Amino acid sequence: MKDRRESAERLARILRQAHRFRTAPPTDDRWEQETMRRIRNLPAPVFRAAGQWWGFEAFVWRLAPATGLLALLALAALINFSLIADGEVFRLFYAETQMLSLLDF
Amino acid sequence: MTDAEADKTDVSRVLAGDVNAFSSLLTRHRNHVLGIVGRHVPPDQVQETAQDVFVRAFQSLASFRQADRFRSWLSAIAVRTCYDYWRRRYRRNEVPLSQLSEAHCAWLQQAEARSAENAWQNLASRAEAREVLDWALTQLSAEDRMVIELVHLEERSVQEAAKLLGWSVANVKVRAFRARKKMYKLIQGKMP
Repeated sequence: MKDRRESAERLARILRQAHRFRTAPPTDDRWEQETMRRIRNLPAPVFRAAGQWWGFEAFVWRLAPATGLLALLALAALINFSLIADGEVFRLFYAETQMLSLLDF
Repeated sequence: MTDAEADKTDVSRVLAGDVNAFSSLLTRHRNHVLGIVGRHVPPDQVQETAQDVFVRAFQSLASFRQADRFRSWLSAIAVRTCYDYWRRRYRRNEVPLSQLSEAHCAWLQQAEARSAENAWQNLASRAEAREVLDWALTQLSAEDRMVIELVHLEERSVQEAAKLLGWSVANVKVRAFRARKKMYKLIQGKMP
């Protein structure tokens, strides 16, 4: 077990080193000129002053599913919610002197 | 003037309409970006991907906050551009599924042996090392690939990797653990 872990560690170290040996091929001035040519063909970025909401922007999409779920729950609750208070219903029945029976319907 | 101050001045100039000021940013940071991109995409794609990094940086320059360091901001763009590159390739099924040869299996056997303790630098510099690594990474998803490279191969912290990729720390932590397990299982399956 220990030997297996040691050999995995050895291999990990060798692969880490192999990854570090990866280098970018050298670039010349032409590459830089080509990049600038592409950039000059783009519309200029428009300065946008950082408002007080910039910190919140990053969370908008992360919070979107939770917000959607919350909105659905609120909608379901609103559909099932009776706007007539229980006390009001009781008062109506209490004031009704005629005996109500299911047989009347 | 320090590099960070020069960056801020150049960014302000570009945002004020002087597009040519971007060339100073390009010259100052090109090696840094090429270094990042060179470790994440195939050699023949490095130049084009690095160009894409600068194009994306220019397009989103308005969202750069002066309180941040331009270099760190650019690093995140470079890492995300590399991630997008792999996502695109996986979506189009353009990732070649190479096979390991006998030479690779022999290399793996040497790397696993106890004698590798002394010769590990020599083993790592051989072409087989990169080919075995590329083969293993090709078997993983674009997400796992990026996490393995950042956390295990470059030894960046989980927090740093999360910041670079724009993911949550928990996501990177879980993915790093699973991807590492998956990769070593793949490699061990090829060991003689």
